[in-house]
Amino acid sequence: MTPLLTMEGLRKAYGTVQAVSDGHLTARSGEVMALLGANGAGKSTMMNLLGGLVRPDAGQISIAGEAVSFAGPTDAIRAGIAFVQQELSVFASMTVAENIFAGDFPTRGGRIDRVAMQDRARVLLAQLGARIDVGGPVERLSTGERQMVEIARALRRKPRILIFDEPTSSLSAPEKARLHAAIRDLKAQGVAIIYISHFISEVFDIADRITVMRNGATVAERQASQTDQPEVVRLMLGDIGAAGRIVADDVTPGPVALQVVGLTAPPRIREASFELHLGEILGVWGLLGSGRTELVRGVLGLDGPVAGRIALRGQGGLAPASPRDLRAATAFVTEDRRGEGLLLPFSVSDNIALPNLDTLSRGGVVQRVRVRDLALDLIGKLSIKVSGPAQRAGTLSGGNQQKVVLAKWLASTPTILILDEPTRGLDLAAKDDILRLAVDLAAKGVAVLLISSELEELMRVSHRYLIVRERRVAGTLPGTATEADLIAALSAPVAVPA
Amino acid sequence: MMRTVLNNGFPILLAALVVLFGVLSPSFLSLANIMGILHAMVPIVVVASGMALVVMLGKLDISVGAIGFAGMSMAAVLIDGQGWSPLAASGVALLVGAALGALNGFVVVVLRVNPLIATLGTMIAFRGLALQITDSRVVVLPDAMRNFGNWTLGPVFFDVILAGAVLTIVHLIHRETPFGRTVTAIGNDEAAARRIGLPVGRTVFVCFVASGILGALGGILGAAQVGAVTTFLGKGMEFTAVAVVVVGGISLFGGRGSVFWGVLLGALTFEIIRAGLNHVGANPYFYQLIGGGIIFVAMYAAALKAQGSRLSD
Repeated sequence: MTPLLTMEGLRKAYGTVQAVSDGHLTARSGEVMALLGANGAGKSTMMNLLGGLVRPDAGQISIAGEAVSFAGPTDAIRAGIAFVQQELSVFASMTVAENIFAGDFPTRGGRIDRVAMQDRARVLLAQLGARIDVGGPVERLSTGERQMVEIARALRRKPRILIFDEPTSSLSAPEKARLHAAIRDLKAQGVAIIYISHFISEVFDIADRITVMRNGATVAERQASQTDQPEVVRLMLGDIGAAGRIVADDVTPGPVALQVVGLTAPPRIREASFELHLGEILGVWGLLGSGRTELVRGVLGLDGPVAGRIALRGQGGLAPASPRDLRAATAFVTEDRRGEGLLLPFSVSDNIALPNLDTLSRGGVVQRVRVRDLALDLIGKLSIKVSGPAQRAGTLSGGNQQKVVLAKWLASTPTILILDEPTRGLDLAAKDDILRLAVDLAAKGVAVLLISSELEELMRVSHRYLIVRERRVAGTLPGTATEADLIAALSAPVAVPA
Repeated sequence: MMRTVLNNGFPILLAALVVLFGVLSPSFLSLANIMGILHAMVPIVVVASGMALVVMLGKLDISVGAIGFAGMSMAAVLIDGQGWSPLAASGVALLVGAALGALNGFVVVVLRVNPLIATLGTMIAFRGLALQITDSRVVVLPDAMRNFGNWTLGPVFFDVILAGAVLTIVHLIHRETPFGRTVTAIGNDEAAARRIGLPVGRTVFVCFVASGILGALGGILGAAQVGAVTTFLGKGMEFTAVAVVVVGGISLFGGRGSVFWGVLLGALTFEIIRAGLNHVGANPYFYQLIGGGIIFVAMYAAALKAQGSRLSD
């Protein structure tokens, strides 16, 4: 049987970042095809291409053997593609039925036929096993129920191809079971389903076939019955050799810079104890949703009060520290460069100076010379590629923007550096630069905590690993741990005590 | 309990105001005075009906007063200089309103200029255009037009019925048609509306055209009441219209509120206070202070309401 959908040789770059370099996939009527890949593998971009949200740089999409080209989402909808996005597109103040029929209201003499609309909405929701009042506003519904409304809207269009992007991340267990039942029904009706999920065990429950992407390219396609979870994880992560390591295995760590004992803040953090040493890079390893980011945010007290003891190294050794003390001693860099306060219209030097204005001014007046000197110094140290300190941050590449964010923090000489997915969305060379910077800083005695979804990246620079699983610190592994050890640590108990 | 008071705050406040002014000055509740209040509300109700649609989108159109002035200036010149009939000239005024509204829509939708800035610019430009048309003169309208503006059916002014019809039609369009629901969807989340393929640009454009037409109609009805086009026609009308819809509970962020009740209660609030203060012989400057106070109280109540609904989640 020829596939209903084929995507061949797709390429799409955003600026200098090649999001998809060689994307292939097929989907067949009456089949659930799961698309898997680590963060940044290019799954979302592939689906955005299929949904008509972005246009490919190269490659061909065919439906039922005919080449198609979408100028926008409306074209894709007309071609029978419905996309249930992770980001919900519901209208809070409108009724459930109105949300389902937005864009195609049944009318009678120019007026919306509410009776017919609500009847049809009830039928669609019943197909999903959802019991929701179709006349009530969506803002009264739970996130899971809103997702059902969104799926009902997709079904209303009677799609031939239905894409689910992380449909279960906000669903409760019974809701998830109902969704899977509904997907099986749709499959029986001959719909081609593309299913994206981070939860691999869930994928094996529902998928007939699995396509794996890595670094923008499709790397494998398997029948679900002919593969297993370990193989899929290996395909997702790729072969990782210790060859890429840019740190020594046998670094003698300095004294403890940060000690966390029994940190708890349910449901974000269940139990976390660990130590971070000066001069080491501690790699935080866990799946998405395991609580990696919540853990470091919890340590810094960014999401509200937490229970547990946190001690920080000061002049007189380790001493209990308040969240305010911790934040003063810590630089916290995430993938969200703009959220971290990088002001794109401002110059590089102004961006670096802003958090440090107190030390750069005299008598309430900012000393431009000192700002310039500081900026030049950091531009040199981090080898930021700019025409000069006056260049606007918005005109820099992503990697250089991230370096400016780092420079901003380094100007205040932190003891602890927390990097949360610092290289997301950067090209390979920029990733390498950022990692090397982290290594340099650790060599100068800074305690570095690195979170990354890319095992390869983590394995290149970590002196030790902190294993995070189901919102707990499950243990630590030494820097000599192999890829197999680390993958095993995600599911099996960790033998090495914390 | 708190919710009940907040949700019905304005009807309760309005009733209290009516009773207060009625006690202070018994003639305030006379039929003639009540009819006078409704009559005085006519231009603002018509203009605010259009504004309500735009605000429902989460946008603003502050050029409506200037559009009313420009449209009516054109009509006045045609009547005064060319001897056109008031009816035909009013038709031209509505066309001018539609054209200027379309220009606003073009600037907002195609050129993607922020609506507040776009219509601030066109407000100044349209007012300049109108002054050019009339050469900054006061144009006195023929008696026929003034008679129309003050024509009564029994105790009710005819233009009150007209304004009521306009408000009801806009309300029904908003509530009952695919177009109206698309307006609300855009006001809820414009990006989501685009993602699911709703005709966002077209809908926004049509709302600005409607706002322009109703701005012009407000100008015609206002000028007909006084029987002349002066350089003050429609001045400040745009801000009163925004205040009316906001006080009437239509969210400035878009997507929430009732066109009919919002405009009616908002306009009643302002007019009752103006007429009431006038009736008890208060200093006319005092009215502006009170008007500002009402807007503040309404916004604060809306903020409390938003907080309340968050807490109950």
